[in-house]
Amino acid sequence: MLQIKDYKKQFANHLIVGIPSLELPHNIYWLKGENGSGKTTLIKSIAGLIPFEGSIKVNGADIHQNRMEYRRIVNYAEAEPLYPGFLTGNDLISFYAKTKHASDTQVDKIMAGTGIEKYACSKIGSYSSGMAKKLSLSLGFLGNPKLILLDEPLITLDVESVAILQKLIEEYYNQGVSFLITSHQEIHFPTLSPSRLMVKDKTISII
Amino acid sequence: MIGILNKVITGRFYKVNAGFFLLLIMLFFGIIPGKQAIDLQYAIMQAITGSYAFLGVAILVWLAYNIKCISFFIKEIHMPEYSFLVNLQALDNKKQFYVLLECQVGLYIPSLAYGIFTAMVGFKNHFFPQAVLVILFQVLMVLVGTLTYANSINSTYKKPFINLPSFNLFSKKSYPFYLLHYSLQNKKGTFIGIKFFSLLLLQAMVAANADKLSKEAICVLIMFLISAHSLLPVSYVSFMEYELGFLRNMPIPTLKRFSAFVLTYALIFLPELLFLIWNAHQVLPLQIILSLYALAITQMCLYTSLLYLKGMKSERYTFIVFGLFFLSLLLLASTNLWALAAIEAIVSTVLYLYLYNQFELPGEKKE
Repeated sequence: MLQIKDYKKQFANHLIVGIPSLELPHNIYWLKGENGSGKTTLIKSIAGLIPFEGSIKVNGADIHQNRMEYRRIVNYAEAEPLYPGFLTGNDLISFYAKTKHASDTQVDKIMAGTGIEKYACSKIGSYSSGMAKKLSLSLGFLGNPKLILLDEPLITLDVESVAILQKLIEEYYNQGVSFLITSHQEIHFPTLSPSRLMVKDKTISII
Repeated sequence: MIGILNKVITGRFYKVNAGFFLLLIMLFFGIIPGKQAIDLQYAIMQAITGSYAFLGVAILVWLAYNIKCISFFIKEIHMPEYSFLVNLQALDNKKQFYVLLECQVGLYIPSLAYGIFTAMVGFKNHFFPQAVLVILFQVLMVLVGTLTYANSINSTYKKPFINLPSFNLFSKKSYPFYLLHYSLQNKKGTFIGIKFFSLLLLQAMVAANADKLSKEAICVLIMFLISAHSLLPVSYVSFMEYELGFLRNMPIPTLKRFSAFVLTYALIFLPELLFLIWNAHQVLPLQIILSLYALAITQMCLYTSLLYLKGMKSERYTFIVFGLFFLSLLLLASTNLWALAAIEAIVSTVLYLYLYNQFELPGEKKE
C-alpha cells in the first residue's frame, strides 16, 4: 500500500526525518513520537503538501509522476483545521465531493453520520474548534481513498464523536482503506489490531 | 467548482482592492462629466492604437495589473486557511486549466475589457497591426496568469525554484526587534519588494530631476512611498495578535508595545533617509529630510493604531490609506511638516493606548 524510498525532509539544512526504505501493507497504523519528532512533517509529505526528497508511493502512484491519481487516493485531515470563515461547510463539502469524485449518497451518509449536516449551512467563522475538526474529518473520508492520513484526529472531539470516528475507520478499513494516524491518545478497536510506528532519532521504525 | 474560487479568490480580490478600483473609476469617469469622459477614453484608446509609444505604456500598465492579480492569487493559496485548495490537484489537467482560466478571467476582466474595447477602436480606425497586438497581448496575459496559477496549485510537493536566504541580524532576538526579524525572515519577499520599489522610485526621481528637486515633489513621492509601505502594518498587527498573541498575557506596558512598532518603522525608513541625505542634501535642507522621515514613521504608526479599530477590514483599511494619502497631500501645502508629524504621533499614540485593550481578534472561534 505505502512505499517510501530514500525519503528525506530538511528545514534549513537540518534533517527532520529520513527514511531509507519502508513498505507498509494495508492496515491501520499509529504513528507515535515525541513532540517535534517529525510526525506531522512526515504525514504532510505523504499528503503531498510539502516538498521532500525521495519517493513516496501509495498503491504504486507517485505524486511526482501521477498527481491526479495520488491526490484522489490519499486523503488528509489536519490536526488543527483552518478554513476561510466566510465559506459554509456545504461549500467545502461540495468542493471536496467534486474534486474527490464522491457520490451524493456518500456525502449524505458521512454528513448524517458525523452530525455536521446540522450546521453545514452556517459560515465556518461561526464554528467552534470541535465543529471545524468534525468537518475536516468528514472531508477526509470523502471520495474513494486508499490511504487516509489523520493528524491528531481526537483533539477537540467529544466522546460521542470519537465513537463515530472509530466506527467510520472500522467501516473504511473493511472496505480496503488504510489509515496512518498520529495521536497521543488511542482509539480502541475491538476487532482490529493496528500496527505501531515510532518516529524517533530522525527516522521511523515499526514497533 | 468555479463557485468556490469565485468566493475565495475573485470575490476577495475585488473586496480587498475596492479602494483601488474606486480610485480608478473616479479617475476615469468621476473627474470629467458625462459624455466627455467617454470621449476622453475613446481618445486614449485611439492614442494607444495609433502610436507604438502609447501602446508600450498601455502594455506596461496591463502587465502591472496582471502581476497584481497573479501575486494576489499566489498569496491567497499559500495562506493556511486556503490549503484545502490543494485538492484542485485531483482534477485532470484540462478541467483544472478550465477552472483556473475562469478564475483568471474573473480577476483580469477590467484590463481585458479595456483591451478589447481598445482593439475595437483600433480596428475601426484601421490601426490593424496595433489592434491585433493588443488582442494577442491580452490573450497572452490570460494564458500566463492561468498557467502560473496551475503551476502554483500543483507545486506543493515540489522544491521551490528559488529559496531566498533568511537574514539573521542579531543572534539574540529581543522584543523590540521581533517585527524586524519577522520582516526579514517570514515576509522577506514582500519586505524586499517594497524596499526595492521604494528606493527605485526615489532613484528615478533624483535622476530625472537632478538639478531642480522641489520640496513639494519629494513630499508627494514620500507620501506615495508611505502608502506603498501600508501593507507592512497589516502583517505586523496580524503577527503581533495571532502569532505573538500570548504576549498579551505578559506584563509589558502598552506604551512599550507601541514603541516596538515605532522602532521598527524608524529602522525600516532608514534606507530612504540615508538615500535622501546622500543624494538630495544639496537641494533639500537636512531639516526637511528629517521631518519627512519623522512623518513616514508617524504615518505608519497611525496606520498601525487604526488597524486596532473594531471591525477593521482590508477594504476599510484601503480606504483609510487612500484617505490619509490625499489628506496629507492637502495638509502638506499649508502645514509645517514637523507639526503634521507631531499631530500624527499624538493621535496614533492616544488611539493605540485606547484601542489596544479593546481589540478582539476577528473571527475568533467560539468554544
